[in-house]
Amino acid sequence: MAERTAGSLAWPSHDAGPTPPPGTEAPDPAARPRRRPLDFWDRVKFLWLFAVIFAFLAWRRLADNPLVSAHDALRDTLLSTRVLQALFAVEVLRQGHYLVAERSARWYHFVAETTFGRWDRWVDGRDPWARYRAGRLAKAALVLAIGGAVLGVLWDLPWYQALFDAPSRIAGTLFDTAQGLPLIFNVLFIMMIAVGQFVAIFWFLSRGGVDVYRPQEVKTRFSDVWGQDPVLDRVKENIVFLENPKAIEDKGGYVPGGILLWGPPGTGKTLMAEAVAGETGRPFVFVDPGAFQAMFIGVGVLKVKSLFRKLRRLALRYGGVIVFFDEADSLGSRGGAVASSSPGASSGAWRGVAAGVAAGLPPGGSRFDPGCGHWASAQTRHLLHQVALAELGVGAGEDAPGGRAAPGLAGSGGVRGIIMGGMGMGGGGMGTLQALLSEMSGLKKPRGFLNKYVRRWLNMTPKAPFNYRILTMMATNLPDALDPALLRPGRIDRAYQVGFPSTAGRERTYRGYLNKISHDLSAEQVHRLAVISTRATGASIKDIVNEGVVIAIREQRDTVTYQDLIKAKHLKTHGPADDWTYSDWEGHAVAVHEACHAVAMYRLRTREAIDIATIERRGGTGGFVSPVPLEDQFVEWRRELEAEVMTFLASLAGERLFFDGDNSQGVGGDLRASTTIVMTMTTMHGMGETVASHATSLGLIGRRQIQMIEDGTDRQFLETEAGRRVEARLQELLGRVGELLAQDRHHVLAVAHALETHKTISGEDIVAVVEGARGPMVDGSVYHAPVARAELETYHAAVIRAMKEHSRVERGLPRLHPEGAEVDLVHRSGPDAAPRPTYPAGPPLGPPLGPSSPTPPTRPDGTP
Amino acid sequence: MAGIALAGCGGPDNVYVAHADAGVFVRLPADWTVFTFADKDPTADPRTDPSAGTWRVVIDGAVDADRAHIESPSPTEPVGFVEILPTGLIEGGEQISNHASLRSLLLGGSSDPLDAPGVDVVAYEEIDLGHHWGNRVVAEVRRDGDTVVMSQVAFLDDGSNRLQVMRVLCSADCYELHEAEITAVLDSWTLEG
Repeated sequence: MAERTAGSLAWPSHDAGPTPPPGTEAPDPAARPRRRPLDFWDRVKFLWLFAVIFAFLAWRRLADNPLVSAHDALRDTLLSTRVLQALFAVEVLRQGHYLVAERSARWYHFVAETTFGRWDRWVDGRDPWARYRAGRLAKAALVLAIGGAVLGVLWDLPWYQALFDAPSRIAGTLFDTAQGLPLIFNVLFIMMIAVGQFVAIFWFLSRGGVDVYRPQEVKTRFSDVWGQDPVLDRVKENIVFLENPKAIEDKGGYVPGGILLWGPPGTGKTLMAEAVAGETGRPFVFVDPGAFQAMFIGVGVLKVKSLFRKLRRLALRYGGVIVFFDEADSLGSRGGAVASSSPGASSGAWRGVAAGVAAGLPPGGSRFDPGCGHWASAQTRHLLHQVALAELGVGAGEDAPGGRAAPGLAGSGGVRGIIMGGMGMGGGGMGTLQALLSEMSGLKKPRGFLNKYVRRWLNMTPKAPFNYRILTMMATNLPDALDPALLRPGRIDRAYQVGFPSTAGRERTYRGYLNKISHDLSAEQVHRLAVISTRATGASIKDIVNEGVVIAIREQRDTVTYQDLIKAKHLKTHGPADDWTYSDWEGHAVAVHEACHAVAMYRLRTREAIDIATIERRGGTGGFVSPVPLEDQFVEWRRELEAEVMTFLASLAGERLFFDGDNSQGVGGDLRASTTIVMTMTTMHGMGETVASHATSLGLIGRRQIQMIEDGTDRQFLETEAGRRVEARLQELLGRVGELLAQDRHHVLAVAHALETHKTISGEDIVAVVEGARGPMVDGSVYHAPVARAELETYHAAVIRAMKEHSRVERGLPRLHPEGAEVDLVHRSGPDAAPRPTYPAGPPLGPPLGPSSPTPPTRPDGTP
Repeated sequence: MAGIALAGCGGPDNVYVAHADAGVFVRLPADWTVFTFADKDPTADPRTDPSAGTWRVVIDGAVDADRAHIESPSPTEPVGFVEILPTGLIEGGEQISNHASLRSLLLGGSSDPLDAPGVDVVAYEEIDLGHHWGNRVVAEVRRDGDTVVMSQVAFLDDGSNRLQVMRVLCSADCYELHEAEITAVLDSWTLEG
């Protein structure tokens, strides 16, 4: 006993009997929660309010009748306020209950869990739409009852008669000038009309821009989306969760609330959304991207609120709803200037660059001059665009390995940098984005006037809102333009890249569209089309097939051929050529320039094939060689980058090799690109003699690496030790590619001849020329006969002579025949040709290339 | 709270006749009864048509109060009415322009109680409130062998547009018994401008 009382912690103060086995203890009532104590004001506020109302009524009786005694006034007031007294009594009971519940967990549990809790659980088990409608009905009935009671008292009528008479009485009061209303009512009435005008205008302006499709109204199906199977599977998964929410909710999860589909234009994002609309059993709400561009401040906010009100209603009625924001960047960007539909003159140019970066395509018309670098790899093109953007003073995005832009959802990217240069307001302008963010994350907040305000006023916990199952789908090709807050989990839970389809996807897409037309393509040709259509999208493939149909119709055929589609693809990829004719020797020089690129590429590049080579001028581009990746590529290795640089440098090496050490300005773009690549190789990617990365130089920490190289302050870089290493590496690679071209001299001249003859040839033709095989357009075997080789050298020597002497080319372009490789000459100097002036030849403009510089040209058999 | 509760428990001190818009107030003994027009179909008495601007209540001091008591020629318990009438609705109302015409309302004709045969004016007083003027008459009227004491307070507004009248009738025996109550009722007459 002494031990028991020795310390209060040793034993309980009372003997509770045998200790129950673990896990079977009855819940300790004391451990249960009790009601949070109310402060004094909350406890008495309604009693106080009722007392004040009573006192007011009594005072009114005293004031209204100068004869009445205080006793009679109190008594009469008491007799005429039965409802008030009943409310008072209820409030006393309620506060009594609260008082007990604050002290007794048992009582609190009994009331909150056993009685009202049971009712709440029963109600929660009902159909949400039925609850919603019943709730609305009950609220309407309550309003009518209270209104009837009040009007009945005012008009001394039964409540139902007061309700019946209310419209005519109120209208009579408001519009009958003979009523002689007090001035305050007149003022209020005028204010009501003034405010009502604004309400009506804004209500009208907040309409529109939202289309609701009921299930089965849209005919597009998942089977109509080709080439995006992985993404489609992911999207289907979300739809399954929406269709059957119990599958995830019963396991403690929740239905994902938002999906972002991002990727280049034309890859099928909108089509995918349409398919969702067609497949789902839930309503599908399509939001017009321009719907939130409003003239007046606040209209966009109203539209967003109106939209989500509609979504909540649909979600309740149908058990879920899908809302799709197309071109979400127009709404979800704080820098909406560029993304908006009304870019200014300057922002339009930015937009072009941004779109190019996002699409991984060359930006037409940007300051970056690709020269004839159409054949650069995708990574290199992206790198060069970053350089161009940096020169324009625009930050480029963070680089993923290999320099590929990662349009990451978090972190700033180049595109955002562009956009923030604009007018920079909320997405869609003026608080619309903020309203969207609020609505998307505010679905769990208590809703409704009674729930939000009245229950709180009564010190009652607001009821949780319905479980609105709203799946938000957004599509954009400028993901970096989206506000990070929009993309956080809870708003957009999943982001799927709808990228360029894989080869299999492209093949499937080609087959899908070809099945709709008459064609004679074999399965192997369709596959080949898919292989060479790298970065083709569903939209661009559809366009190519349609262009093929146009070509076939133009040539009065009913069936589309493989060649039609090749032509269509080249036309769509590179655009139509200018109507331009080179001077006699300049055409040969351009052909040799491009032939050097083509041969170097054929020899050096293993993961890419040549799509086409052309010497047809397009704007500032005299010609180009265009590659197609043979496989999807994530990073490039040193060997590949060196091959790429050598392919760039092939133009300089080749021009010096074939034109006696001279070279044209046409190599400028190639040198710029190759220098940039070698710089990044040696200073950032550990592909030089040193290891340290210049991207982390003290002065550049936190800066973007491209700025380090090309922001204008590092132009002296080439004078540094690192710059000298870059120059040395370029010289080394130039020498290597020079040697390669010297060994392939005849092949270069042969490809140049094919280009001069056909202007544009395919990659297969180039392979045919080099390998002596038959290509789609060119029979390469003719170039391998000794007489042909000699003739090409003779022709080339004549061109060089004409260049030096500024005279006409004496020999015409040789015509080579497969049978015996006979040669015809295309005589350029006809009798009607005007004589050309001659000038003295100057010295060679560039240094000779050492042993690989064959000057003067020699025949393959060694004779000059 | 306790005071309020006690107030509810006790009986009333008085009952009141009040027309706040016209500013007419009268205090009656607690055991008197007031019949408003709502107690009876208002169409039965054209003088209680509120749309015409008239208003009339009947007061009855009988234990078994009844509106019909007002029709009695010699009521044994005090009975009367309080009435507000636009003069335009009264036949010959335009002639009500002096104390004599107000006094003559007591007998229901043009006879002035001061001069009428069979009528002894017990008390008479002329009152000018500034915004209203009128008089108070208490007279014994002998009719068919019965003597009825008629007490009347009648006022007109300055524009002679609206007439406010209270009249209490009682037989002579009744008046002797209830004189103090009737006098108190007449004294309580209040007319606000």
